[in-house]
Amino acid sequence: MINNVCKRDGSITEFDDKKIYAAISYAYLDVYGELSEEKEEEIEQITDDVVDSINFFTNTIHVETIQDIVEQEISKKDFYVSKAYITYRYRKNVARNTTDNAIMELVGGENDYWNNENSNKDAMLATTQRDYLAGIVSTDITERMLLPKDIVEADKEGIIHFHDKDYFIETINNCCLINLEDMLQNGTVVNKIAIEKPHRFITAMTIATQIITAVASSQYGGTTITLTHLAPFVRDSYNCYFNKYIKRGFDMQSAEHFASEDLKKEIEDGVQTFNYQINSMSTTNGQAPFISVCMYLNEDPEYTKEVAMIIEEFLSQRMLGMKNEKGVYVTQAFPKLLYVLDENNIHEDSKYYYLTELAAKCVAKRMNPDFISAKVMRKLKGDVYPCMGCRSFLTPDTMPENGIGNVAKAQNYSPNKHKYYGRFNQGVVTLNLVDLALSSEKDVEKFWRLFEERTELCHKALRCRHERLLGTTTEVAPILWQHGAFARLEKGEKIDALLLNNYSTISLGYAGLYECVKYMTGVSHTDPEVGMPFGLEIMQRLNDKCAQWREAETIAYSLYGTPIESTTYKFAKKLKERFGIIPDITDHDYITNSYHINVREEIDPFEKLRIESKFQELSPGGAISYIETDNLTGNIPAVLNVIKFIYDNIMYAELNTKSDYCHVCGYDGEIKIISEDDKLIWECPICKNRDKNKMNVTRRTCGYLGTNFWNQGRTEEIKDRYVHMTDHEVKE
Amino acid sequence: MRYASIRSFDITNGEDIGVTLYVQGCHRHCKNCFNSETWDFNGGKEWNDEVKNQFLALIDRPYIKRVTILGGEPLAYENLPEVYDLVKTIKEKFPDKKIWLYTGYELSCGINEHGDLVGDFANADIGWDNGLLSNHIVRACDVVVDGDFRDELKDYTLKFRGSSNQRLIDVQTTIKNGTITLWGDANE
Repeated sequence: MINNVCKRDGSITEFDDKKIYAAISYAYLDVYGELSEEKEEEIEQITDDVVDSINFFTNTIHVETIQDIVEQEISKKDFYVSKAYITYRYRKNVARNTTDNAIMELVGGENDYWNNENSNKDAMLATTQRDYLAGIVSTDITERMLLPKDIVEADKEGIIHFHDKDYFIETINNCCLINLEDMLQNGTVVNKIAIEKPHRFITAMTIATQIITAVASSQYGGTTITLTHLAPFVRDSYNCYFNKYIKRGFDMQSAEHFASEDLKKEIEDGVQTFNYQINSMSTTNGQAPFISVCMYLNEDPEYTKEVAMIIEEFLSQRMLGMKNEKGVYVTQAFPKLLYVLDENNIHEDSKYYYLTELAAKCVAKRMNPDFISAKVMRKLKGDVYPCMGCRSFLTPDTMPENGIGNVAKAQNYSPNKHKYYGRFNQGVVTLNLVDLALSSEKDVEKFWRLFEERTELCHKALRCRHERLLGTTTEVAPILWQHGAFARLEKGEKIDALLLNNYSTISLGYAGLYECVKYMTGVSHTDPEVGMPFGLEIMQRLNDKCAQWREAETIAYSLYGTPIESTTYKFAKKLKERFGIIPDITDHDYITNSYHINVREEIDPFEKLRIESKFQELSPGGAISYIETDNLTGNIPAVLNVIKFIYDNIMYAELNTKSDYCHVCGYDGEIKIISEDDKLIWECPICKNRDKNKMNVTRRTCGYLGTNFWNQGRTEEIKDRYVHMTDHEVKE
Repeated sequence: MRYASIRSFDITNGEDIGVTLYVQGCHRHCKNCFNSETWDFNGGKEWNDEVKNQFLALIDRPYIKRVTILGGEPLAYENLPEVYDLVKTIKEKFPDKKIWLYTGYELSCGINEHGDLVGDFANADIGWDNGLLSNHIVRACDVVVDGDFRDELKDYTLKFRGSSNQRLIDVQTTIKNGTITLWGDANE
């Protein structure tokens, strides 16, 4: 018996035979103008026959199937009417554009998919909707016209994920490190307006935010700047104040004193301007720019002192937070802060240890900064540099070794040093390791055979990304290609040299290592005997594939621990569809991110970081490890303990603390997720408020902080996160 | 001695990351005690060499910076020999790790007319009287939190303690100064 009908937009409605009767009547009316009693009986007869045929199906039937049956039944009775019906269906189909439903759902504002697609975007906003509208069109054309069928199919089935289809129609890049130094020191152009070298710190900060917004609008991924590029302007400002006081006849000592005072105020104002600009401006991607700020004391030893001053101010302002619409200080999502740990700030007797203590307090309160260990990074990469946006790391370039030289024509190029700022990423395709494992049915030989097939499919998809960009001319984004952010190429010049020569990276992503290893071996990849070696072998072989492609094509293929923010839900749903429910593998609405240890696994925070560091080492295109913590604002030494462990053991890690805010009762602890009728609901533990519009919830989604809530799958993952850093009793 | 539970990871009962032993048995019976199932000296589990060694193994991890002993009442007469044995072992094996102890008793410290330390922090000979053992336990600690939990003075915002009458005492400075000296800025 049929109870339900599945409509074209996927929604379910109750079956109603009156609708069948009405549809057939319209076709008859179309042919005969009016209905005789005889015809009406015929219509009733056809309706009954349709209902009988439909009842062969159980439960739910698709609307298109019903129409096929109607077509069949009419054709048995009346040729002309059936012709009218078929024509009517055809015309409706033509009128029904492939993107109509998606667009109407988006602007309708009721659909969970759009509301939770990206936790940094608010789908109710007209400006965000404009970005999403473009995205829907881009996705549609990408799937129908720009990608080969096998890739579209594999993407639909969740075997791989072709990221950022919503931007693929445009020839733009993913993420980058902005060459801010070149732009500030040698001038740039924003919107055809020439911007010369600033003379003071505060001006440099303002220009920096304009550059960031312009760059972020010209690509779809995150950007990073470093404070080192701003530090020379601190000195310029100081000299400016100092000379003013000397000119006014003050002695050296007084001039120094007053100049320092003025400088401190200017740094305060400059950093505040930066924070307000970044969080209040919107890019063409319908959100605040995805920006990370690198805080590394030793990037340019000439300016360590000035960098320290800016870091201190950034951390102090971050701890305070920013006011929400109620005037209450809450955790801001941007910029993400990348604090680099090194010999001169990690030991208690280090000169800049006070900054690390401040960073510890700041992270306990505001979930930022994240930590990069210079010690581990030097060992792994030979250099120290930040990630592009949230986690994507460049691999060192091969320009000095290969004598390729200054392909980007940057004015600050140094032939003896590796270059990082001004380089970028061409995009990501992610391999779903869980599907790979399940498709192999635990047969190891089949596993590696499918591994070969599917990595080559990813390769083909990555080639599509690369070839889409090839031939792009610099006019697409002058700020990037002509005015210094990446390069200073000519108008009309192609960007191809920057897509080759290992100048930019392209990312082979992976997801679900945990579920993959667990299914194949029966144990987690934390298991030292069986699970870990198998997990490491998968990682190593993925790296080998990248190396092989890199060698052949001089494109910097690199293995990348994809954030799969909302893709986790898509993957999980597809896995359930394809393989049914398998305990601990497909029984959740999410799969585990990258190489991460399963969020549910009860593991000591240090052990987690220690084990994950082995996998992070094999994820050179980027990855981040985190530990989940309780409120640690009252125990800063415990935070410092973890930070020191990070310095010695893992290149890139972060602490997930909690500081939410309920507008109804003013509670500022952790807002909890509760489960009700299979729905996950955010609820204030004090006043039980459940109105998402009346609470600020900030969680680390993947690398960035999200503040606009998440889809059902990601929410379940957040709820399931085991808190590593809290009191744990020994179980008997 | 018997014990109630062990925490392999603790961030609440003291500074930095520690491991915690909740001993069993207490005579104080504070109103609304958070842990009244630890009052009965016959409750909990048996503390023996095996458990002690497991506890020491938990301490013996580089990022464990502190050991906290609470209860129950670690300074209850019945618990003194084993608690003393434990702090002595910790001191020997892990001289760099901090020891914190929570007691319901209110401790005192002073100097007599001969200039000798008197009270709970005095360095008394260990003889037949277990009572003096408690001094040796206290002296081996870095921080002692003293005083009953008083429900009417309960305050969840306090660091490392339940009610505002309780004090975080800096033991080594107290011994040096000859008078109760509070620890850090957590007493405010």
